[in-house]
Amino acid sequence: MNYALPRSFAHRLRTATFGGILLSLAGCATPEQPAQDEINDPFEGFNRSMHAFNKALDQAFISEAARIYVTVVPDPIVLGVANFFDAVGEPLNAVNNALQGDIDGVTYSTLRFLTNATLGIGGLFDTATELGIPQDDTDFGETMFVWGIGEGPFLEVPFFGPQTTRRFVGRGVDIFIDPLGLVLGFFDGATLQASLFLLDALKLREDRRSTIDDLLYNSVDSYARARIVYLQNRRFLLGSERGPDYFDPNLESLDGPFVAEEGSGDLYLDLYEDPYEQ
Amino acid sequence: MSNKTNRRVFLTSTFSALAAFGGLSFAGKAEAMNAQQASSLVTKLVDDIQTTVNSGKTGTSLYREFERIFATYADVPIIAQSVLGVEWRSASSSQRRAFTDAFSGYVARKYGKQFRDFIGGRVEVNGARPIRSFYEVRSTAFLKGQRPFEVIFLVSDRSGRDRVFNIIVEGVNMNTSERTEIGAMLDRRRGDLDAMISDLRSAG
Repeated sequence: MNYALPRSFAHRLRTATFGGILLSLAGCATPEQPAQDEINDPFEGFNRSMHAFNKALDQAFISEAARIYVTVVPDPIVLGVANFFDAVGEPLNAVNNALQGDIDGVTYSTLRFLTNATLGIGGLFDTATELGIPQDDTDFGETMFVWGIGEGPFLEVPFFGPQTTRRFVGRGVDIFIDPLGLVLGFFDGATLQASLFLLDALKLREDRRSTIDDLLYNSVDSYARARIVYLQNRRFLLGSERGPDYFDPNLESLDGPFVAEEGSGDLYLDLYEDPYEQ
Repeated sequence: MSNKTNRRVFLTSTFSALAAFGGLSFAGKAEAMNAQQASSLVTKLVDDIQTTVNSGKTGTSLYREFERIFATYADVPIIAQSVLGVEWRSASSSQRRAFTDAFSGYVARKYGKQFRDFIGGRVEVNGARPIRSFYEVRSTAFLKGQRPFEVIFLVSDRSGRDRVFNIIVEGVNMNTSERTEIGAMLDRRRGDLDAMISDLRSAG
């Protein structure tokens, strides 16, 4: 039964890679970001009802479950589970980095996986970060971004919350291209990822409790607020890959005057909108 | 690396504090801001926030502290103007003053309420660079049990003093997201600015 899966996985991988090559050849490989506060939300009515559902879910269950999880389970275990979730995500990061043609990224994800699997005792400790290989997650949504596919309409999805359509489709693809499925079998791999995702979501809910409470329950329009916060953060996570010196921790390279890069000018101009000029 | 950065930032801020003091007593006129001054302003700001967050103060006295910090380090009028957007242009000067004042208290209450997320955390300033007429100061926030994340402060001296005029947390721009909130508050009052300002006085 399991034998069928690697083959279908490889097939999907080939198809995906082939798609990527085609898109690059088509010349639409220069990723374009919408302006920081641009909103494309044709399904607003539907999204708002999903937002109401998610909010009710948080009120009835998630908020309290998060509190209990983090209070009852000892801190080292909560952190260990989060680290383990990050570690089992590295093979998928490697695949997506490969699909993005990011060879350094593939090396990073692989090194992080191997380091944390061994020195990090099966992924329970994030030894790689301590050794100077920090986490840099990616996903198939980002792969599509690199291939030049637009983010699509904004969506709010039950359980998963705010998404771009591209991110939502990417989540689906990620389930099929996750190398974990090769080792554990498709369903076990997906189940493990889903369980860890849930625990990680509970930790995040508790870590950012007052920020999330403010956003959901202290806003006049929590839907509009969640939407702009999500979109800005997502665009930042994708766009920050481009400026070569944008993430460079070496200060010397930051000392020169700022020059917007070609094709990324909009993002920076917008992000650094100068209220004194208005 | 972070220790080195810390040391450098410490030296830098000590140096600029001395320089600023020297400037006051001799020249009496501030020179144009430089990257070190921008960094040092942010270093002082995050130290001040850290002290306040860990002071054990809560409720109204904590919000008062946050309002003082906001007034000391931020260019409140320009932020208020930017957040109100096009409405600013049609507002009367007394409405502008009332809005700026109400907004300042709102920000203090709103972010004051979120202080628990920051207890025991720290922010390291990494450096600054000029962008057009202002400075971008980058920092990394380390919160207990969480992955570090990037916080950018935008600093300008266009008000006559070095002041922060926007904060960007992992791409999330404070002015833009507050504009969304203030816009929603205005919509709720069908565009009645005075009614919105009076709501704002108790919001946050």
